[in-house]
Amino acid sequence: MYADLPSRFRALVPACDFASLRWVRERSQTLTVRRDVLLPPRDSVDVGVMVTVHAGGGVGYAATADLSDAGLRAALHTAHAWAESMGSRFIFDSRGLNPARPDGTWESPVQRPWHELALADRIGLLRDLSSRLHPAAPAGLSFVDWSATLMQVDTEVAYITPESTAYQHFSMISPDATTVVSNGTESQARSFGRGPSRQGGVEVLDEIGFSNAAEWLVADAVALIEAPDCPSARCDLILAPDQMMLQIHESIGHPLELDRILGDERNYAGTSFVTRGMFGNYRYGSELLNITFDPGVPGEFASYRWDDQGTTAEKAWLIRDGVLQAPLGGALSQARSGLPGVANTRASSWNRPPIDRMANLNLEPGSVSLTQMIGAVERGVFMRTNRSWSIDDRRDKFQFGCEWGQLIENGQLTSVVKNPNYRGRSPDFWRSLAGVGDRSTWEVHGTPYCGKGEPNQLIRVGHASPACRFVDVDVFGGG
Amino acid sequence: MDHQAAFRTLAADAFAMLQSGEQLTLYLRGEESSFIRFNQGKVRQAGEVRQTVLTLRLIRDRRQAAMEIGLSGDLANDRDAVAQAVASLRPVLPALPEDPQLELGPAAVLTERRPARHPSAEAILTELLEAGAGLDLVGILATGPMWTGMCSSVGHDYWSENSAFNLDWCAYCGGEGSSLAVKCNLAGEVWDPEALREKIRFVRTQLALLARPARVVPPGSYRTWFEPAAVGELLWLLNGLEGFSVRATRTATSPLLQLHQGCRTFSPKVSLWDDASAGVAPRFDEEGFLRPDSLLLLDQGRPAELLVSSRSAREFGVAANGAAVDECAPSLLLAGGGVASKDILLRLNTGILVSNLWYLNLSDRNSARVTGMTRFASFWVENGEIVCPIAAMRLDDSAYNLLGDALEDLGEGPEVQLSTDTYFRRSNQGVTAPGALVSAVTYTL
Repeated sequence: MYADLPSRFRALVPACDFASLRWVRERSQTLTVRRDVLLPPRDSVDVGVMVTVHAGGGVGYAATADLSDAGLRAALHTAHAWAESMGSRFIFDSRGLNPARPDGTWESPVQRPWHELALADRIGLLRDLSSRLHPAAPAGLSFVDWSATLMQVDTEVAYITPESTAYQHFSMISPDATTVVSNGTESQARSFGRGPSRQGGVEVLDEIGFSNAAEWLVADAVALIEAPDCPSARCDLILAPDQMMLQIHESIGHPLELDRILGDERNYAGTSFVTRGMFGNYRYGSELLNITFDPGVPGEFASYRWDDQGTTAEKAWLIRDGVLQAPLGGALSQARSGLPGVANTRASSWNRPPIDRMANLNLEPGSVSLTQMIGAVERGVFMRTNRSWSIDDRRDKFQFGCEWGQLIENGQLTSVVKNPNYRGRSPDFWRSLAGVGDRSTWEVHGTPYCGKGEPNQLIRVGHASPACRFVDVDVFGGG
Repeated sequence: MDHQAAFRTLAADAFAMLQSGEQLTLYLRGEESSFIRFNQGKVRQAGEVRQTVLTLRLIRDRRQAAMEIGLSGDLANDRDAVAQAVASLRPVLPALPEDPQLELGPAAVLTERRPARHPSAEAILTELLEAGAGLDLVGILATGPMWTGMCSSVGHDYWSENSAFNLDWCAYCGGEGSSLAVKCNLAGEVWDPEALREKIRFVRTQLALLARPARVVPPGSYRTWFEPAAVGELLWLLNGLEGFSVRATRTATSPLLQLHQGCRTFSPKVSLWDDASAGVAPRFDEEGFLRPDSLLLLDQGRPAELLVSSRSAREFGVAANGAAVDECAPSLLLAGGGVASKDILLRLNTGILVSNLWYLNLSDRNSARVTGMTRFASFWVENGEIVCPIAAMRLDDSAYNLLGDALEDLGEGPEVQLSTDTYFRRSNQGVTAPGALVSAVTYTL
């Protein structure tokens, strides 16, 4: 199906300024055991192409699953017609662009392919985990809901131009497990989270300790239901890497997306408190803050060689020593804004046009251990695992909640607290960064569910971070 | 061959492949959509998406497995794809345990077809840009046919097809990074040019108010009028987080558990339905169950029916009522109240008028505490008159307060809002809600 596509496409391209074809074949399997019952296994095979044509100053696209010559010809005709008819109304002139024409191949590092784990073994792993997520509960408590899930995705993408072909093959695993304990009037959930989503094969499950998660999930859930609410205070806050993922994503990643700054997202995902004049001089955070766009971290969820407009991806510093350096903007946004950027023009699949997205957006490690970090806190809260997130359309005023909270008193972790939340404003928060964990605290996380764009697109992103300490944060509990 | 005929042909072929003891269900979702995205009154992206996804569910000896495949639209190719899918599902079944929650709805026949009654995407965009000349317009137009089908080897034969448009846009004032905008939406199956012109007139009036210096209102408790879009957002949150799900209620994970346990109530003014006549969602689900015409979820502030999927029906021993597996209502309808449009500002008197809410989530599931941001044209009102726009504020309050103790009244005219959701495919869901007058709302940031 794919092998002859470049030649067939090239034979059909009409007279135009530029044309490309992005072929995507995605195969996935989702297995879930909930309350010890296997939900119907669901496999998916999705194949299609996005054809893009530059003509008359505009750009048109057409997405189709009909890969016959007739189907490709019709898609090219449609895309060409959209470009011509809309060209005079476009917000930019496509004739001034110089699209990339990449050649080569790239694939995720996989030690043990998914198919080497038989279906019965995958189900057995989940059933075993599920059975251990609801042991006999302490008096007055009961485990009311629990589940274990494995999602495996295998995606091939070929970006084809009249002169070149770049082929990439991604193998990804996204596991999760949750248990919920109730005392009859309230419940507390503890989850593995989608944070350990990675590129790779079956070996990822061992690396992240998935099959051994049941016992600590159960213990944490019971501790939470019996714990008092997180107190309300302004105090130090230490965030574990699985919450730093969310903090980086919402209050650094999204505000740095160049298409938001250019206004494209104002009707849906929103704009940004960051403006074009801030790059190169704006103090985004304390001097400890170093943020990189890094598509080359082995196994991180959004690693790749080329973005979906063919630009070669390379590591770049977006914030260095706390000062804003560059936005998350792909080639088109760079041309529109006159700003530098990165290779982050991405699409969720063949049926959506690419836009500026996060990929691997990481916080570089610092120099203190977690013990040292906690030891520096006289009064504070340690939080891990996101459960609630909300931020304004400029990515400024946020409120995030976690599953797990633990007080820090006189340099020691002490009581567990439930319903821990914190709120703040993005620049103030990052400027209060007072401690960045060393490599021993650094973890690679990712999520399959970053939403943005019109039409809407869910895309996979990666965030690696150490644990971090912030001072004078507004924390509070539930009720 | 039209879409329904092609589906029936594929189904007949697939059913002919079945071996003794096998059952097969087919669930089809397709669209031919035009999308035009615009910014600053100019086109940002324009194109078309043709996609059809078929879900095959093979059943034998109470074991089931499902596969989703994309269809190309070429009947010969699609026949091969369906045959391959059935062949690949067949050897999976013996490796699976029996599914104690397997159940299909009673077989029936239903066809709903509503032809297009709106202009092309290009024509609608032209009308918008001409009527809104000089405005900083940003948003998206989505148009075109959508179809959903379900049939099975045991006799289900359902089809739903319509063509709708959804024009969702803002007009902004202020420069880069400004959040001051008027949000508008026109959606449905019948295009009304006068409705667009009326929206544009409204936008220009509101922009004049937004041009006044914005006020930063300090955190505190404020009397608030929520416009219908804001109320719809709150209802979608409670619905989307399984507030009316029997599964979430029985497993004590519902954000409205205290309501369902009889510990809390909403205001007697709150009556809520899943209303199949609202919106454009099909009346059937993937398992072949039909939704009732109307399902009462909240009766004058107290819990009524819960949404019960076929799996929950087996799990908890209750009767299924056509809910999909996510147990979320696709077409919510909140009854109106006594606040006439002309009286909104007078009834509010002094407080905050919130046109839209954004990024709602739970602060505390157990107490149904909700947080989220005001967005777009939200104003400070004094003595029944709009004074100025406000900087975005964060609310953090319990749904039992917002729709309960502090709810003074609802608007008299619920407005239909079709979902603008286009993740994976265009949504066919919607909510019909009035505005709401709340005596005290807690704002925290």
